[in-house]
Amino acid sequence: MGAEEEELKSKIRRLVKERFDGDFRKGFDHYGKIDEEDAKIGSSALEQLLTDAKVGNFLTRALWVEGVLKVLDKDKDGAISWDEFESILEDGPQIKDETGKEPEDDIPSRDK
Amino acid sequence: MRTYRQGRPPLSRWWLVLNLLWPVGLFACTSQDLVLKGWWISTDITHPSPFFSETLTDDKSKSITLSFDEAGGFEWRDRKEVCHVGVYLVQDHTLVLTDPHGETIILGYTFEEDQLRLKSPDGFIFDFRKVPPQADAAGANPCNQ
Repeated sequence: MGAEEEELKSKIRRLVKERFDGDFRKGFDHYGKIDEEDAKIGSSALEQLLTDAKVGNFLTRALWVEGVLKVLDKDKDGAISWDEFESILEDGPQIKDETGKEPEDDIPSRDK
Repeated sequence: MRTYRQGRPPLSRWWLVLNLLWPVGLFACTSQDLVLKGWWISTDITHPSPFFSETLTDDKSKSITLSFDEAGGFEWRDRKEVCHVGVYLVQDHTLVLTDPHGETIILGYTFEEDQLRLKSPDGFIFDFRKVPPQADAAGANPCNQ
């Protein structure tokens, strides 16, 4: 996994932990409602998610959206389904806090 | 007779040096603003990570249009025609862009003749070349041309 992909997943996992109590399904449902694309995360919802996760900046976020869709959108429908979003949990790095230390509590199970 | 501590220039000399140097500093800042002012079209966007290689090779023909005005405003129209506006500030070798939501980006920048290179903190490198304003109308800018 490249550094960018690793950083991306780490930031998304941190966002889910901080805003959605680590519940990936809750996070997915929140962003899935933005684009109203049949409970999928479309490009504008993804841009909001990346903004909230502090990925990129206002000039580069659209490029990040394109890059993320190329990696996660396996069926190439232009949106991220739950199954595709769930892959962020797979082989992901541990969330590190600002000091670089890993938190004591682990990422909750995807079964939530 | 006035005496000075040996090895240290008198205060009046510092004052003289300061008076001679501030116009140079002011000119340097002003001239950078003047070089920056105007319209720029992107010629290349790169990123060292292979994560973006496919993204950046797609739509290679589409470019970013960027303009800086005298009042300290900038407009950035991206490859998908989405506009970003805000204010800019030149500080040494960085360009500070702030959008209306208060998000600030500190970009590294270099000039070479009519070429401008901007380096985003997340690794993107944007190469631009200076172009004449794209519309004749007064006040025209990339976002309403």
